[in-house]
Amino acid sequence: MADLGRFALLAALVLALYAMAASILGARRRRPEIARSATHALIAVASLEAIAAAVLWAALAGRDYSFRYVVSHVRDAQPFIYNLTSFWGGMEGSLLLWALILSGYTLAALRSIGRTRPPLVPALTTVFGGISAFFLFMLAFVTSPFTTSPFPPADGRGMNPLLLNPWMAIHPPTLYLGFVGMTVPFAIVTAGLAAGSVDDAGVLLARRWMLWAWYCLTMGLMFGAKWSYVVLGWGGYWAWDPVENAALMPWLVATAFLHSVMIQERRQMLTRWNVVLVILAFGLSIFGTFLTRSGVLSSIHSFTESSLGAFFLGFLALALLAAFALAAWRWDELRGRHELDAAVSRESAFVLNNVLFLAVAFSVFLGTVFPIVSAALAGRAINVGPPFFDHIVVPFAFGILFLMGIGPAVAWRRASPDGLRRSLQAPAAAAVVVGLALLAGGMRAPGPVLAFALCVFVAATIAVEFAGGVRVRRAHRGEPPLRALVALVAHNRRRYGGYIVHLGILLLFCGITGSSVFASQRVVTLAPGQAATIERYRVRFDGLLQSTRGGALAITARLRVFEGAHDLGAFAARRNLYLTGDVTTDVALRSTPRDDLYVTLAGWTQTGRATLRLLVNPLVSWMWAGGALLTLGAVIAMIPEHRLVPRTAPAFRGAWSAGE
Amino acid sequence: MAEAGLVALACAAAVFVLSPLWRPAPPPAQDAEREPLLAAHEAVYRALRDLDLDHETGKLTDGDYAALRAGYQAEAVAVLRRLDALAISERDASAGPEGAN
Amino acid sequence: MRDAVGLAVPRALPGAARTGRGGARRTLVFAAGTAIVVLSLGYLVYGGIQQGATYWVTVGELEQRGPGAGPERVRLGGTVAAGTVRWDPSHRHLRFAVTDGQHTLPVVYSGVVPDIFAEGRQVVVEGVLDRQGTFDATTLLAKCPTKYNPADPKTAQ
Repeated sequence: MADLGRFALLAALVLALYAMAASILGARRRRPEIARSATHALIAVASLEAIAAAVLWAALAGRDYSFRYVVSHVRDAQPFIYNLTSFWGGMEGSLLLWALILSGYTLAALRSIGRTRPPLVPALTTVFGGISAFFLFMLAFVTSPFTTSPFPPADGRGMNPLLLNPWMAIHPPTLYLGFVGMTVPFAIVTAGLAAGSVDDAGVLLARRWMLWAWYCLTMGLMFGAKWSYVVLGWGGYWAWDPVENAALMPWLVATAFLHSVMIQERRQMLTRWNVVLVILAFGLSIFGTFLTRSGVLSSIHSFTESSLGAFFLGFLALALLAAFALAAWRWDELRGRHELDAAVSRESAFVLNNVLFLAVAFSVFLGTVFPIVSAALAGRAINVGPPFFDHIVVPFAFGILFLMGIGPAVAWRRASPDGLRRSLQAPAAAAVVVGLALLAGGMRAPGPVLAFALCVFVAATIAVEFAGGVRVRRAHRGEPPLRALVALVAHNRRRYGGYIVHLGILLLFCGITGSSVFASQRVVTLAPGQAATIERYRVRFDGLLQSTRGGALAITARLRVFEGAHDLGAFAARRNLYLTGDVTTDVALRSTPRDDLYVTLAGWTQTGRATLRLLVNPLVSWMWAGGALLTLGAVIAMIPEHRLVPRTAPAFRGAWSAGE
Repeated sequence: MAEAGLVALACAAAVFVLSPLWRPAPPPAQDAEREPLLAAHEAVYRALRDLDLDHETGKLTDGDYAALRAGYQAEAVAVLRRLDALAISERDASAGPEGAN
Repeated sequence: MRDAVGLAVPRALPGAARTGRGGARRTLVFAAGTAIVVLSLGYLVYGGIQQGATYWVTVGELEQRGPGAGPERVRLGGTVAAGTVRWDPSHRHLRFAVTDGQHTLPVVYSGVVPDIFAEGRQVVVEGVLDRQGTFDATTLLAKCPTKYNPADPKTAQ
């Protein structure tokens, strides 16, 4: 079976290269049948990758220990579902997943664009073929999932038990849907530049794909944060780890793009900027894959150190060089047709938004590669940790938050200052009131007060938008308020879906502020029966329990939590000790909208005393709620608007109405 | 036995990939030129719709609203003219061989 | 590239400044705005480096330098030496030794210990070398052990 897998990948590589060659040849010789053959080749590539994936999955499901990959990731005692998800648990499998997802996107894009912009298809085939060829080359020659050993062991090693968690099971595929998804806009734009047959360089066509990729990346980031929070047991969700940053950077660039592309749609300007953003997003997603795979920056997540990194960097350099060369070639033709009308307009707010997002992305990039840069320039490797990132990102985040409030209130093209003032009056007043209330309530630190006040400001401007829209609709159609609201959102999905996404981001922001600034921690050592208080909770330790769970020795601290006289129930903080020497933590977690009580078992003594780490993290559940709200908004915004203009030839007007 | 299977797979893939070379090429899609124009038309319609909403919610002055509306409508007319011209040329191209028009 | 719309559209709203003056003023505003953002970014980056920068050192380097060569916060990478992991009775303070194969350094740490931490595993610690020659760590990161290293493709086959 391993032979089948190896063969499939090798054949796929050959066909991907063929697709590249054939589409170039077909376009030059103007022979559409050759181009069609190239498309068939990519379909065959997808099928062959599916065969290879099926082989690997069968081996994982069947615990075939002749495969080295299976030995590394599967164990007889491991729950079956994790045997399947271990497909992406290691480098070889994740690269295969990457290639598979890329093929899926390739086929979907070719089908859709074949219908809407056929001239782009040959160039698209070339680009997709080229990127696929790189990953297939890596899979066939550098990191094959199908290496076997002649003497299979009786049992495998299994995955690190930290990965045996539902969040970690869905985090990589979701993240990859986002990462790989950035390839499609890149392919469309480079194809548009190369084919030269579209006026917007394919940027507008790429928008919808980028929105989907952005959404997947957002969810991937949130799943990773959730995993970090509930599994790793340190009480946090984001550590500015290089691999976390690697996923954040393309997200920031994609967010900027989703805003600036709206300007291009309306005013046919910023085309060059958007082209650069698309190329940058793709480059950062490949860079992110590279950071995860090579050990060049010390990170808890890095799978291994290897020469893989050199290949990735080479490919990245080549792809970026080619893309920017194409952009330079077409630079003059991409000139915008209009300019900014006014300084106070939604366009200028979006431009500022872009500048801020790119500034944050640059800072994150700088901080992430700082050791390499400083080693090259100053001779010493210098690391910059979370204080660096927090110091820079927080002020910019405030700026972005403020813009988020201004944006909805300001009109496209040119906002009337009076109208703006009227729109912002109530939200500003609400923000001041809340700020003062917080100060009066005892919150002294200026940062969080400003953060919450700004959140209120933004929420209020969005509420004003909804109210205003409903009012206009009712004035026209006299619908009851609820119907008007639903219809308003349904008929302006992009706009109001976007506002809902912003509300989700606000919740996220509040959650981050609450848990970062107001978290409290206590480390206590208790004998059975003793209790400790933290904030409004009293945690009583009822003794240790030893058991076996899922093939591990589990030491459980039985706890009972009280709030005043109110018994909140029994909880368990656990440490699982595996025979392999691995350790995992089960957190005793009680989430309420107000805060999370988070207890971990740090250690224990032979006499039955337990050392517990108690944390109270305010507003964490707001973050996950924000993610859900963001999903709702994104889904609404992504539903395609039925064509305002019929697809068939429109009826003739004016002088051409002479009978038919 | 296994080798035979791999060879068969390779042959199937080769046949599938090379098959278009022997079939006549499908005619180029008619919609190729129309699509960018339709997209531009949609963009103008959407801009007009948002313009009306912005004005009615008080974000635009009446003067700016009138000027912007005139601009967008001129754009819409221009796009419609291009679409009409395209439809006429397509109609002529398909009707040509069949007789006078 | 072809334009989708052939008709010329008014470039600016009537009532906007004449293109000459308006254009120059717009460029100035734009340049000023960009300058402000770049300057504040530079200022923040500088401050961030001051706050958050730590030097990477090896165990050997630090041992050589010795304690008291400045209270400089450093980042140290190495392996947890076998048989050196000890907890205090209340299980709050961890003592172990980190080694790079040749030099070994004692470490004391009181924070959250990652689950992956174990003897023989690679760790990164951040902190200060105190006068007694013990490394006082404020941050402890551990790395998953490499299971499969395809650095040499030949051995992988």
